[in-house]
Amino acid sequence: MELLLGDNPFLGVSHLAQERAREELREASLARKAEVVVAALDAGATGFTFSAHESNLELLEYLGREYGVLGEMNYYILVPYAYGYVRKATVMGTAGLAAKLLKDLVGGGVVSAARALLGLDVERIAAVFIEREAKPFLQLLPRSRVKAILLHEVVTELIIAFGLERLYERIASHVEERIGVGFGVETRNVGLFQEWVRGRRVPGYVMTPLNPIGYQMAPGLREAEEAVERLSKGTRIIAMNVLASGAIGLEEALEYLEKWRGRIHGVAVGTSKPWRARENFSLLRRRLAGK
Amino acid sequence: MDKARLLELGKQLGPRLYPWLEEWRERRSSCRLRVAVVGMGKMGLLHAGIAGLLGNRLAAIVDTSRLVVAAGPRVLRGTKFYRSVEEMLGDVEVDAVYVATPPEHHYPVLQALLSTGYRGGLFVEKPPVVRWEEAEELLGKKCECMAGFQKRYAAPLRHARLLLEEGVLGEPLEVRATVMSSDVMEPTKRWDRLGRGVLLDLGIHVVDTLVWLFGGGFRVVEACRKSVYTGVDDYFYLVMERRGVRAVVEASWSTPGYRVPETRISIRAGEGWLETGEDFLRARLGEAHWLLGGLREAALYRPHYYQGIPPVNLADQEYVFENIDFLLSTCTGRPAETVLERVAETVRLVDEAYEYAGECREVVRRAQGGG
Repeated sequence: MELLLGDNPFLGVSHLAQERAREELREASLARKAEVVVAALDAGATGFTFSAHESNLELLEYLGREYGVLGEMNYYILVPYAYGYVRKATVMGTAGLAAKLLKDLVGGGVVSAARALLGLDVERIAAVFIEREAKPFLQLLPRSRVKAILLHEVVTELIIAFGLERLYERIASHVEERIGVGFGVETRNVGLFQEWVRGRRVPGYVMTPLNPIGYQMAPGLREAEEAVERLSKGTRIIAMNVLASGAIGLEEALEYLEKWRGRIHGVAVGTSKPWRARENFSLLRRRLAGK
Repeated sequence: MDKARLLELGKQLGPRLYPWLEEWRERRSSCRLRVAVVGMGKMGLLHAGIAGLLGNRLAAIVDTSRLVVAAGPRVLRGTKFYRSVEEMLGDVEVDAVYVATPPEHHYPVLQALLSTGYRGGLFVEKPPVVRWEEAEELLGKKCECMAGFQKRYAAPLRHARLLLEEGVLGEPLEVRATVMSSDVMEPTKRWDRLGRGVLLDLGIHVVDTLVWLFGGGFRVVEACRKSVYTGVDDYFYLVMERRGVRAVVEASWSTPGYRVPETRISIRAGEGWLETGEDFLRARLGEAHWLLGGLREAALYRPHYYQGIPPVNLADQEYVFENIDFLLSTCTGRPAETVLERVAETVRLVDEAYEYAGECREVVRRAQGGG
């Protein structure tokens, strides 16, 4: 089983409370983050799942340079780093941001980008955008260790909401066939995703919250569990938010996850503290990976 | 603190905090609407996305951006695109319209919709209008539009309101509220034309939350503003008063260290103390109370409240509940919780604060923990 270190605390993300995330972020110097990764690896983590954020690129470069561990773990890259674009949209306006992205992707000014758009395939532009976001990481990491590019939940949820089948298919084939790594999605609407993907190309990986209180499991705990159960027959499930953002303890989470053994491919857990990384991954390894 | 007890409390509170959720579940299969979005920026996309996840169809988009109108139909193949609301309403039937343009366009767009005789559901992002006169005019025309004050739908804040309504805290003595973000950390002219900045964009949430928590009746007694990166207010300090109790409000969108905007409201009252925001509630009472799980002191966070709810996820949970209220109110005809009439005091107070405010000599108090 993949035991993955998640990067949320490294980016100031908490689904418990933002004030806690800010505290964690203040502690998260580059050296400290590297210590967390190394501690997790020593304790049994098999990989790292992270957003395509420049601070993670810096971290990975540092890990390669200072610890030489890049070849020792698997990688699951979440693309794009949506919150970065949300913030840019606040300052530039969404249309301004879209124009800038297009300009970066197809070259030339806004007018030529708009013209290019009229003649171009929007789905292809989206696929190229995803590749561009992942590229610095793909260049840095051993390719055999990059197991998947996962679509960030915001993109996945919008694909479901608007039924963007062609966009989904295009990105999936671009990732799998052109980039040559696994394709997956992150979603907090696993029930809807399972229904939507029926009869369509099933992604190689689905990363979704799995915890006994149903936090971020839509449309509800029982329905989400059923959806995960069904999806697990054709795809690799990566459980995230297994601690319900800290509302439950590790022991309770483990008892719950043990019931899912054989049906989930991986578990992602984040922390900003090396001692906790050691403690959590030792337990995860013993209880879930049976080592 | 007993984790199991807090989780149980969160579960018990659900139906009290969202009394109409069950009705939505019962009606959801018959309440599937054709929605339109005016202004397909990030908020338009968010509301359209949530409406879509809730089973509604995005029938039309109105946007003035050539890029959106050119590229949109190539992605959203079942959706029609228009450059004006008149053009849209002349061509397609919709049941609900989200107005999510930049704030200065809210009023003219609402006017245009009302003048066509449109009578479907109407949602306008915050601030619903820029100036009080615009709100007065819309109220005069019986505009039953819902305003996007989603903080009122955040479970911790609804829990706080319940504690205040039930008198568990006793009489309020002192109120402090901040909303901080790092959204504007570089020079921009984006808000210059609007002439108003952080109080209108972010601070209005805190003002509205206070009005809602205490049942209104505030007046502005002190206000000042400061520019850092823009030609408008990047920082706003406001003191309001209600029945002799002062509420101090600070809003900044240029405070380092915030990934997303954060609200914090502290209330010291005769029989307890409470601190809350969109993602937490901490309270200490004189006596144990069932609304705190039979405890005197408790701290609850998002996971305690949102166990298996809301039924879909996109961005923070409060946005989903806000949209359910809007869509359900459109289907049933009952007014949503934040219709213009119910948020009018907020709009008036913000307008007064701008009229009142001079330049701050210094930033009065730094955000707690904001660096």
